[in-house]
Amino acid sequence: MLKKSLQFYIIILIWPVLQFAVFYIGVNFNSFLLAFQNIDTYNNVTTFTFDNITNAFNLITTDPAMGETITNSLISYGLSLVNGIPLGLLFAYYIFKKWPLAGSFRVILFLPSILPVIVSVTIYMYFVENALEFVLKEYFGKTTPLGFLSNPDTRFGAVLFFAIFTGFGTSVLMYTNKMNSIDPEILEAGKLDGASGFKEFWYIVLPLTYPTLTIFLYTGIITIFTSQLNLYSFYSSRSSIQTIGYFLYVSTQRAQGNVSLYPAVAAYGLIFTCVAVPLTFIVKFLLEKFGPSED
Amino acid sequence: MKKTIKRLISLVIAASVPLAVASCGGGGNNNGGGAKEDPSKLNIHVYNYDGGYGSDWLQELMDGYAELHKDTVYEGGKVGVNFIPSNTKKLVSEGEMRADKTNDIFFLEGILYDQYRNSGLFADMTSAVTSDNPYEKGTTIESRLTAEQKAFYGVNEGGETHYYALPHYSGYYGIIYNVALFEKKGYFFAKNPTGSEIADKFVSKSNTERSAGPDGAEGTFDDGLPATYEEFYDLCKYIVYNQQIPFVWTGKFYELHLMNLYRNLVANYEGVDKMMLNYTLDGVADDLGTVDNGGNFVPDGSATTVTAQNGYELSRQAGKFYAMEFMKRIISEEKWKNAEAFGITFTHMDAQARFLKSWAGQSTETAMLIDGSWWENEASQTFSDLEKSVGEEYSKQNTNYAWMPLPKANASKIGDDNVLFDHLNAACFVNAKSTNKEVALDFIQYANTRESLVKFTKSTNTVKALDYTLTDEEIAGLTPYGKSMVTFKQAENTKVIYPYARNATYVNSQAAFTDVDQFFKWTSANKSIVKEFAENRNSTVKTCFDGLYTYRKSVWKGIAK
Repeated sequence: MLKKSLQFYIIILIWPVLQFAVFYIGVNFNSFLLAFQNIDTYNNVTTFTFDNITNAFNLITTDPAMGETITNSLISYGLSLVNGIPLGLLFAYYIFKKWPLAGSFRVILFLPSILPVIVSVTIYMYFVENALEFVLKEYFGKTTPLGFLSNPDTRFGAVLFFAIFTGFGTSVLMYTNKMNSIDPEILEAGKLDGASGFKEFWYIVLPLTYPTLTIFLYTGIITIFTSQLNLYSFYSSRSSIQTIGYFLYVSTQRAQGNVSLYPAVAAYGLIFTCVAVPLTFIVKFLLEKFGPSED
Repeated sequence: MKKTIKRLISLVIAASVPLAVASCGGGGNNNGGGAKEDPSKLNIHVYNYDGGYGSDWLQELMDGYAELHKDTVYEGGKVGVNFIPSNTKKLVSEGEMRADKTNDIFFLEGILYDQYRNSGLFADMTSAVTSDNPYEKGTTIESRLTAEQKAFYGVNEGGETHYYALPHYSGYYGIIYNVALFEKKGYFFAKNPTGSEIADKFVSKSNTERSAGPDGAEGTFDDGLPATYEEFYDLCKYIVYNQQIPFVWTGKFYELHLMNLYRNLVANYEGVDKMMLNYTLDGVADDLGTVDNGGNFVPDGSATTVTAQNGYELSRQAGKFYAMEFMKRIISEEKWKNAEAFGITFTHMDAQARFLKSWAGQSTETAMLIDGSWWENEASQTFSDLEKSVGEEYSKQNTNYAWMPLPKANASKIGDDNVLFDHLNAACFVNAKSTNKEVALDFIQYANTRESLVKFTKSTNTVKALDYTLTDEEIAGLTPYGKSMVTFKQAENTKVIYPYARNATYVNSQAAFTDVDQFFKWTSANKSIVKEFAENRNSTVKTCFDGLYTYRKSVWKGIAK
């Protein structure tokens, strides 16, 4: 007879473990196999081939459009790194210090994470395309031929702004929680030693938040390969701007369920995974080796 | 107090989430007025893709069948049939179909026939298709299929032909014009122009005889309509001259609408046989060519035999070049279209509303709409709103819109067949897991009698992808738009392309043939031809035409694997 505590443990874990087994291990294993398959629907035969990998590799390395796609993904990651993380930390510090309207900021920054993304996108889209255009025309006398999201010259910026703005929610919440776990006596001691304001943030709060920050930094690497920048929500499958994540998603969607076309997409995914995995481990290693210590 | 306010705010936010989720459904699921299972009757579940054609036609069909069988006794002593429809704007994936044990009958678009058949998702419909239809003695459903449809849907298994699905409705993209506005402003070409000015080319009070139109024959429904691309450009210029707007189209889906128009223009140029080469990959192409540096199409010296190995050569068809020129022109001319033509918030429904409301004086009058053949049914709410707010003269029945035969590329093509390109690949089939297969197949037979097909047309003012004709009396009961659509479809010189074929290349890479963007992809970037013309005014037809060939050739190995 199993102990009651073990029974409870199994009951609690069985569902998430099953989910993980089916939707992570199962799905990824299937994708791995697909990358090497040639599915012939006409004759109802599946064979194995390395052609999918060769074709995908050739396209990734030679196609200018793919170069642009990779560049967009890197720009998006770089911007979120340069803007999102410092600003996220500062917002979190502001909230942590309970300075004026800190609670409101917390709600405003977290709101996009609570709302379904399609709602946030729709509100933003209509604001930028219609309301902003109206304001510019009515109050500043400026006419724009197209809204900021439709105009080829401004749409990437408009999409990036939305991604950064809506990306604060989780990180701010996590940073604030980590900051709240800092022993008040440490801060008090810092104050007595003259560390207040920026010094407190730089010398006490940041090093103590660093473990949380590193998790965001190295898990963020994968977003280079998965982030869609909400492009599908804005433009459906017809966005001129592409990121790697969007490219993979749209390629799958455009196959329209035609399983014969899936192996080519799976091959791209496998190649990008081969880059993402070592890169993530390298960044993790470097951050842990060279970053400040909590001690 | 502070806590109460916080709780209230949280409540409002939490409440907004399910509301927002619900709003994403775009109409959601409608089961036909809350139909529920009736244990005393045989319950049949029907899944219907409730897109532009709606679900009224299905309700009428189900009501008719239920009435006919109200006293029929089924297994288990059940008397009569009770239908439970699922009318939804969501297409069903293979995975969802595999798990579906509820629905007996499906009416869907864009099905992957061979893949689903291989997966055992379809019930065998052969008996219903090939045997005498009990609801229409002396005919079979098979007799209503074209040779292409029979070749595609009829699968040879052990020397016998088996059917697992049937064509459903037809969908064509094209140009819809406001006949009343054309008549009011004299936008019809005159048989005898009175001078060289733009206005002289059109009819007037003193010069009322219309030109022969694209079919080249006088006294037909297309008289006075632009016969060539050049005449079409003149028409647009004349509309602008009259301070009106030639076109309105959706900004949000402009690529989809314009690329589909492009494909129809190509089909209209190439004709059925040459266009079908793109799918059968078996035959001789005699109008391939290249574009010289002056931007002129230069035909090849000899014809090319097309096979699955060199199918990409068809990217050089003349029709693809001339239609591209047409698209570039209408996209590039600033005054020929609505201001939101490329704005991502202006939907196809907005475009329909703008078109209709412009005639009601609520915006600058707009002469033409680029949309699908189902547009009028889709715009039912706008018609109804206008009828209520402005007057009965704006109802479907009292307005006068019509399907425009596409102009020909040049004068030498006048009189060639009009070609409609049915791109929807809509089909109906019976779920292999259905426990009511016999009745479901019987219903399919009932749904495909001439009477039922005509009812569909009367309900939607569109046509189904089967061979049937309406009598003059039946046509008279349609809306003016419906009349024009049916008249056009039934005209002797109108041919329809059903773009599918039974060969390994097509079947294995169906999406690469049916997805209009992939089929006409000219660059590896996610940018269609029309988007290139919209965003890069310096781009040339030569660039895109050459790109079409280069790109298709580069990916052909993956398509014809």
